[in-house]
Amino acid sequence: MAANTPWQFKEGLTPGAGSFLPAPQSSEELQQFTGRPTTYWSDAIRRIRRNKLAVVGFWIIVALLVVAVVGPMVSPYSYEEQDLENTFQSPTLRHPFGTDQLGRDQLTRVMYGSRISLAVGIVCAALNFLIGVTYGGISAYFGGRVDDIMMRIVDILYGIPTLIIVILLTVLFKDKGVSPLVNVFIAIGLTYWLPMARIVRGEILSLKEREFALAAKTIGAPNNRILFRHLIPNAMGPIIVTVTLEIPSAIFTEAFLSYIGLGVSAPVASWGVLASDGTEAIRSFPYLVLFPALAISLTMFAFNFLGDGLRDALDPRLRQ
Amino acid sequence: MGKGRLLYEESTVTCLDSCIPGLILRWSFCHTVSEGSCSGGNVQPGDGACCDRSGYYDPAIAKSWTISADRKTYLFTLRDAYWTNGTPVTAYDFEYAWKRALSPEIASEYAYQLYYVYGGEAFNKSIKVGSKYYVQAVDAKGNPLTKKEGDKDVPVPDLKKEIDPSKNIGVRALNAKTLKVYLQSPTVYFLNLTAFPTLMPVCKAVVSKNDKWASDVKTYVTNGPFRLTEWSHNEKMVFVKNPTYWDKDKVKLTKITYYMVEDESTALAMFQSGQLDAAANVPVSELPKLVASGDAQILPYLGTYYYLVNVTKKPFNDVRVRKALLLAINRVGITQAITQGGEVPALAYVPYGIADAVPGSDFRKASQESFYKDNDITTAKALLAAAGYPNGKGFPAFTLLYNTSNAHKSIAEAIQQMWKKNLGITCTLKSEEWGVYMDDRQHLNYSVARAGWIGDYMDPNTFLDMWVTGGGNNDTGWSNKSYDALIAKAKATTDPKARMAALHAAEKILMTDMPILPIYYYTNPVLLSKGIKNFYQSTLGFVDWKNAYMG
Amino acid sequence: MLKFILRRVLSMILVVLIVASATFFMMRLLPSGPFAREKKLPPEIIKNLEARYHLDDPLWKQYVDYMKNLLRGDLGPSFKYKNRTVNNIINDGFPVSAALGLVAVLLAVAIGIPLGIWGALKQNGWQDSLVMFVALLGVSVPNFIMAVLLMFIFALGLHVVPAAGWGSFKQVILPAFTLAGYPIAFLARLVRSSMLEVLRQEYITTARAKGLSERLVIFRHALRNILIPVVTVLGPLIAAVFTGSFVVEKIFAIPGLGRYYVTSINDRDYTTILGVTIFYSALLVFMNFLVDLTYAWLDPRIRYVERKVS
Repeated sequence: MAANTPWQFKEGLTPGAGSFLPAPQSSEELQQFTGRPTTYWSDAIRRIRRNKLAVVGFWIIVALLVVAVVGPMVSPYSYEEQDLENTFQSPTLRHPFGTDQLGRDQLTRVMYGSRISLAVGIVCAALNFLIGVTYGGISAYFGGRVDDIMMRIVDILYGIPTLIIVILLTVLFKDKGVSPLVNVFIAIGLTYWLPMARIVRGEILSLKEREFALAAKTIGAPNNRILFRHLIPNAMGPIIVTVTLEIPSAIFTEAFLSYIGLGVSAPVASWGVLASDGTEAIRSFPYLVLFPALAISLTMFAFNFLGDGLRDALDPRLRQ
Repeated sequence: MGKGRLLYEESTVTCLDSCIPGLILRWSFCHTVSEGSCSGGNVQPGDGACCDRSGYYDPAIAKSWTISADRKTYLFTLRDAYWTNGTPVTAYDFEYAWKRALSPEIASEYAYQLYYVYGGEAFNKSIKVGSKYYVQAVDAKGNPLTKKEGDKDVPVPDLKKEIDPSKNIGVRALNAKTLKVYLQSPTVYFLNLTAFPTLMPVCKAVVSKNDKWASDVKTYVTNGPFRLTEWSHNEKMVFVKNPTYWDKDKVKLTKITYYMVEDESTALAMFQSGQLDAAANVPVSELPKLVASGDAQILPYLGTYYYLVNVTKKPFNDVRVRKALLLAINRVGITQAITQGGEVPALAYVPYGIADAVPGSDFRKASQESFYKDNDITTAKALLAAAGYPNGKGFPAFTLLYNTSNAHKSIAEAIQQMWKKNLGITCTLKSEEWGVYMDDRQHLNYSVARAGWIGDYMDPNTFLDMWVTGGGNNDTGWSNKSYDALIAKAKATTDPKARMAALHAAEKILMTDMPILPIYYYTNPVLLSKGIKNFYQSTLGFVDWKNAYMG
Repeated sequence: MLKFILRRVLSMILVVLIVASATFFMMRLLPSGPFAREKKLPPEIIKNLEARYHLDDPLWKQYVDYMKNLLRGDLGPSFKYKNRTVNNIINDGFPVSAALGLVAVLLAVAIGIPLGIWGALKQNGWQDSLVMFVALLGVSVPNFIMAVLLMFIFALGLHVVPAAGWGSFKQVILPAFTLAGYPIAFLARLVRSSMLEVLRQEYITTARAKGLSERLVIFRHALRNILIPVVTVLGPLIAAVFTGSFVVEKIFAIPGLGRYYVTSINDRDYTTILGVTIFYSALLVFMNFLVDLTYAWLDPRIRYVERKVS
């Protein structure tokens, strides 16, 4: 194939490699192919390392985490220190991100806020992945009545207003000493996996009727192996897209939750809270919303690069 | 902008009934005071007996009135005024409307505004059996009797004690033009109350035949300076000048369109792009600029923003602690840096703008203008040390509660820092959804909580009588016998000087015991195009478009 | 298939009833009630109000009465919007939200899917990066910021559309794009990713090897196979967007249904909470039903009726 044909594949793979191969049944089997000890996951990590964008994404996330931990410590200001004489200061060298309506240093607040937002983003992605993928996969794989019941449960959870559940959670958690972030994880974990479950189910419904799945079944592979080693890796594209795209929406959901009293309380502010508070003053002081929004976008991009790398790494057809 | 046309922004109007045409125009915020009072339509459209303009009474439908020496009997003489369907407004319409609002089955939320009328409260509490009303029976100890009916507790009527609405309520039309009102007790601010939506008349001929009269623009008969011609729910209401209005020559606007816009920032964008001529709310961050450019005006508003303290809880049961918290707040900082709407730091409780006993005087200025100093950290520290917490040592961690709103949040964040810096006290902030917050407040499930009060009528009583022992809005657990006695005395006194003296004394007790921490007196910023002349909004928040015009 | 449809319809009705019941009891657990005001009403007035709306009946009786009325299609009176029934509220609000939602969904499909295909075909080219960038921006800018930005640029800056309000076509443009922002991004990313995967499949290689034109390969063979995740997303999306968005309707002052999902809960307007919840969940299960039917059409191998052999 010519180098610039539109369907040119990443990193010199020939289109032929894109055609599916049944995944090796076990790491031992794989070892026989490659001649060196490798498992599914260690192999995946090896391939992520080779994907430049994925590596960039990974290091951005690491950098954000470092800033989240170290930033507030080295900052000359604290996230809660107010200066009512110097409110709404435009960005200067002293306050690179400006100051907010109470004269607090916005840079410090954004750095401090990343602790919450990154935690929410990462935990939400993980929950989404664990619950949503498993649930949707099982539902589709077993199909029939199982699928019907499991998907109707999803419909029910979709239907009950989240706001009611969340308010009830605030009442339930009140004065219980539960860490505020745990409350947020529970609230987000309750409903955030629903779209993922439906997407995975749709994919698996189709994939499980393909030849490779039927073949695996015929040779007597156990159900969980077929599902988790053959079917789900083949649905990795939509899964990764869904996970990464739900991260910013989880970050903003956290802001909404903190608004009605679930989660960390003021003056600690996550990116979502900073952005939505800043939107109120967007006309005269656009920098207040700009920096937290940029931080969210940056996280988003990083997770996407990493996600794309992951997708390729976990795709059984792209294994070498 | 067409001459005489006006576009106005208002947040959601929930009910036509309480927001009747004339009324919305004269008092645009009536829905916030009377929403819901209207399940079959019991709020009266248009002009009431008289309306109040900053302290003096401006005759409306009533052209004159006399008041008996004991200040309990009022005789109103009505002018020739007409409903939009052409029939005259009579005293019978008033009588009908008031009794309708009081009847228990209509379940008007604001019926209590008529409890001042003789027999009003008893009628509103009565039990309907068939077409008759009875007082609830009581047992030997005087407790109200109920009985089980299925799984439900039903009040038992005392069949010997009937309430006949035609005889036992102190409002009667003597003839078409004369309305006689007899009050439960002398209420000096009664004239003021007649401007309240619940006390407006309804067209008896229409309403008695059609319970849903207010849900259709066609059957919606009113008597104000404007009439409603179109209402798209949650979108807009269109009013045009009412040709049957008694004072129509003074009305200059020909059409007013109200858009229901909930977002302040959106209203501002619509105002700036010419979609609106006026708006009821202004985004705080833009306010200083808009005031400077003349697009926004800051109007007075009769209300106080304060924090409630739960006096039943340690260490807040110690008045020294409450005072320390009070004094360690920098109100000037809050009003200038955060609220920015020209609010006045509150160094007392009752706001400015209410007349005292002498005409032209102000309750706030008449006796003691302030009870403490703003940002008085030295005294605050001394008080806290005296209470056993020098520099805040040993002071238990507590929670400062507010309902979800960024404005409340900013103020709470500022006060949290002030207490920490000035007193060494730490508190955590807690934002709660409105219903949860109200519930916690009511059950004293808090330490310190944000609150505010907007007056219902132009009298200090509207701010003071709520703090009596067990008062429905006294969410602090505070109780003081002398205070209760002073409020009762003010209620029973007709002499203005003695009455005001009692109210001043009551406020002094409140400001000595400090179950509340006043922060600032509200203001009311509005967006107003420079073309609008003669705009009037009362300090109670009612907008009057009657005399307004586009210059 | 008929058996499947019948079974699904029954389970859909069951789902709506379960949602209604769960919501009924959960909302009654919320602190405070529909007549709580900042200025508290005297207890006797609350008593009158509760009697009027039968809130003084035992809870089980209120539930039974509500369900009976529900089966007759009567959603009851609103507690907050006096003189209006919940049926009125839905009748007034839904057409507005649905009209706006339809435009938004059409925009999302018409922009998101071609963007995704384009990105996949030009994988790793600048076009692909552009698509990716636009998509990620669309996702990471939440609708409340997007709405305000669009309003500033196009209404206050360029004066091409009104800032807010409802009634003319020009007033649909900004809210529709705001609503479509996230779905455009989501669809573009999803389609790109699925497309890349499909393009690696054997049958596409075969089709190309047969010398079929690129366009035919894409539209005849590939597109059908990328639509499964797309319809999965579209089903709930249509249900959500057609019943209105609280944020978008609030910011653009649109008299739709969206605001009631939040305000009715804050007001404890019980009947309105239930009415809009039931309406939304009925639409949602119906859309998910359509999604499943579409799967079977897109991929004839998908079967819903249990297989006898295993």
